[in-house]
Amino acid sequence: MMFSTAIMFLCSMSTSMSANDLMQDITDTSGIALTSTCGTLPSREILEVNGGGLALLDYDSDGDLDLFVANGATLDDPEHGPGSRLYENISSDNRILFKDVTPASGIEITRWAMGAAAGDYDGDGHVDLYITCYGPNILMRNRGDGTFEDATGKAGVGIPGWSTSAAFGDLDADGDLDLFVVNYLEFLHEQPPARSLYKGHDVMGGPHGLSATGDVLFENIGDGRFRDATTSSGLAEVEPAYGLNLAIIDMNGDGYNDVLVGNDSMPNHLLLQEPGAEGIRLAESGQAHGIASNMDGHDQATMGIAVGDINGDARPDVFTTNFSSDTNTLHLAAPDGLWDDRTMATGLGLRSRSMLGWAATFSDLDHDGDEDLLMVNGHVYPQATLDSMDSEYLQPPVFMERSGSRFNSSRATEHWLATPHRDRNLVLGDLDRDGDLDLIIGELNGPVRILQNNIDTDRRGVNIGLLDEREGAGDRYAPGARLVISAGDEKFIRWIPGGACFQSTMAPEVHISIPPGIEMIDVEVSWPSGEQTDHERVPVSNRILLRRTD
Amino acid sequence: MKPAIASLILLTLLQGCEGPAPEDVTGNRVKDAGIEIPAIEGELAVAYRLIEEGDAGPARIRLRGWMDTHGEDARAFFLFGLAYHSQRRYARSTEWFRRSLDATPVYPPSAHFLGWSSYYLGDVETSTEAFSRHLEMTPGEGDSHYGLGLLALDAGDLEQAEARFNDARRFQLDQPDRIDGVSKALVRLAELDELQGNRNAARVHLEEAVRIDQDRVEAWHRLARCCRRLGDEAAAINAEQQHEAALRRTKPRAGFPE
Repeated sequence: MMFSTAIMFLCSMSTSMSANDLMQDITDTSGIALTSTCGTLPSREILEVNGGGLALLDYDSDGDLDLFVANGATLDDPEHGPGSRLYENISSDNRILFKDVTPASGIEITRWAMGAAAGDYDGDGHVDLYITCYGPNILMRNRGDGTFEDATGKAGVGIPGWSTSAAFGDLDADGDLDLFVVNYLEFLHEQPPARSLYKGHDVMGGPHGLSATGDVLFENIGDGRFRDATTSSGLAEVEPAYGLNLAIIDMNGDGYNDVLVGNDSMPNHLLLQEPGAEGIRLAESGQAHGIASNMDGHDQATMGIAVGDINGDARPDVFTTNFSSDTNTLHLAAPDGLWDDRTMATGLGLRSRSMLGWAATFSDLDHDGDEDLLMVNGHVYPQATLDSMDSEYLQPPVFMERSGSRFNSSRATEHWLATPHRDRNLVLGDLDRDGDLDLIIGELNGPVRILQNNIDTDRRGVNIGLLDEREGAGDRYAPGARLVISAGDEKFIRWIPGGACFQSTMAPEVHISIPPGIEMIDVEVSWPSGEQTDHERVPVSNRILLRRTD
Repeated sequence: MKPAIASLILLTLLQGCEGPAPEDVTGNRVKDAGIEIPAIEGELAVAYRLIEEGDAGPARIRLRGWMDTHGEDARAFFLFGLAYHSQRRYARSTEWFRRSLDATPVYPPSAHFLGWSSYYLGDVETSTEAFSRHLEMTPGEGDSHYGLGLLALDAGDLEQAEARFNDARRFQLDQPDRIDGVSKALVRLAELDELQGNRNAARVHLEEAVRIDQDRVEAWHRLARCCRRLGDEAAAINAEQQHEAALRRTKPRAGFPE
């Protein structure tokens, strides 16, 4: 068992980082001392394996990134867990520090929380939170004074069941944020499903054999309310699937946000908004566009979704993480509007077979100008070993570095990548406002880890956010917006994250690293409303906020 | 996993106990390299049939008993590995294939299956080494060329991949029982065509793949896409229908997507 031996060896190494490590684990001094809850260990039921999502948001409008952690509960009392947490970012002088402000914020959510979507749904300038749960979901409206109130009932978004991921996005280009909720399956903790077999081993039951539940779409109708548009949008006609994840982004370049839903062991859904339609009209066409399954037509167990432009054609390419004994998958957008599975040709296939992947993201962590691929991993079955299931229960994160059109595993000996965990979620953002991307990882029934980026290169990190300040603007931070950034001779394509990762919400910013000596950049923004704004000669700083005014 | 199933079929050819032998095997002797493939017979043949029938556990019990009385034997180690391989427990199967390869006289199919088991584990280096070793002993084994083709594709070496897939096709072309191997190679050649932007050539390869092997599910799927992108909607729809029919015939994978 060479792999096991290697892991044991690495575990026995000192926990101190090497001076050359890209990321330094600063959890102990970060002010976050949370061991998350999602059932108990070892996991007995499928409800206990997803972990809790993370959301980076500026809840107090002070310009930095605060953190919300969706925390679960246990099977014996799913309504009364230890509670989700909100942490205020109080970093200074390049030291990342958070303060637990949960009690003062009015967030008292002890229900089994799964995921978190952040967005200013009522356009009041303050970022709100939608928390997916096992049990009715919860909308927490940000009052703007550091506190939240439960607006679930008023907004009409408290659907029951088991939701995993959700995201805000303007789907009908009417200037406000709609809400898409991804549902998993019918599960009753009082009556757990029969156990199953995997590679000859007795394992927890599901998802196979359990009924999938359809996703739900809420259309923002203003006045702080939504209407259920699942039927009117056509979403109800889509075959229910074991939904785990989504990305809201203009997938086909027609100027409208679309929805890509990652499903477990079933075809992924590509829901394209019909241009010019009255309200939201979504047509499912994942299979027709080649993105529902892998190139052989095999459905995969999509856990994580990462969106980026790998080949510089300004079209969104999609990477998904999958179950062990299968490969992760990279779908490259083609000029004819379809997607091609290019997993093998880019080197992302075989080496992922022993991994069970969860959240993933494209990002320029190492400031070399291109976006590398970072993913977190860990098996769902506690009894998993390489010997029994060809995959270990604890697995390290994987960093795949770009080299032209290929991705190569690298830095694997660095401590942050060498230690195996039960990781599920990750979010990236510039926590200390030094320009580079820091990392927060959520582990199943483990600590929330904070990793500070130590990159030191000539290239400068720049984070760019959007703010629509026009009177009455309801989609102020524009999730899904595309930015074309020119910095000297280099051009970057980025999208403001709308969903993606896994049960989590990334910082509402894009990140690039630019060559030394560049003082000004040009940015073209394609807003979800379909309009475009040009921002020329924008002075470079660690964080740029592009404002849209009347 | 289709390649695994194909490999199991391959076994029956390689060890010569069932079906016609491939052209480069005469009885149990490989002409090219002169490596003898010991016959699987008696109790070992019974164990093999149990594996074929899906009874990997009972097969291992029989093999254990046989090894207790006969000592180390490359064939028994191979079958032990094959039993795990048939259950898709590749970490275990690699151990036994390695043991088989360390024993004498050598049993060449162990190298081939070590190649596949390692491939499924994502162990690129071991897989490459094993397939290469197998070809040293059995140069005309198309499925090992095919495995090396996949590894070359994963490494981004499209030229090498093309050469390997062509070898896989060439070495299996005249063997009626290796039609699936030829078809698989054609599907991959079509993939290379697409990577090089030659969709018409891809269509030709895919059409040939499904012509000789109507059950090649992934070929129908890819052909439908290819035809649609070439603007031949009628052919695309037909391929989609054939894909569905092939899925029904071959019983699609149930359970975990691997």
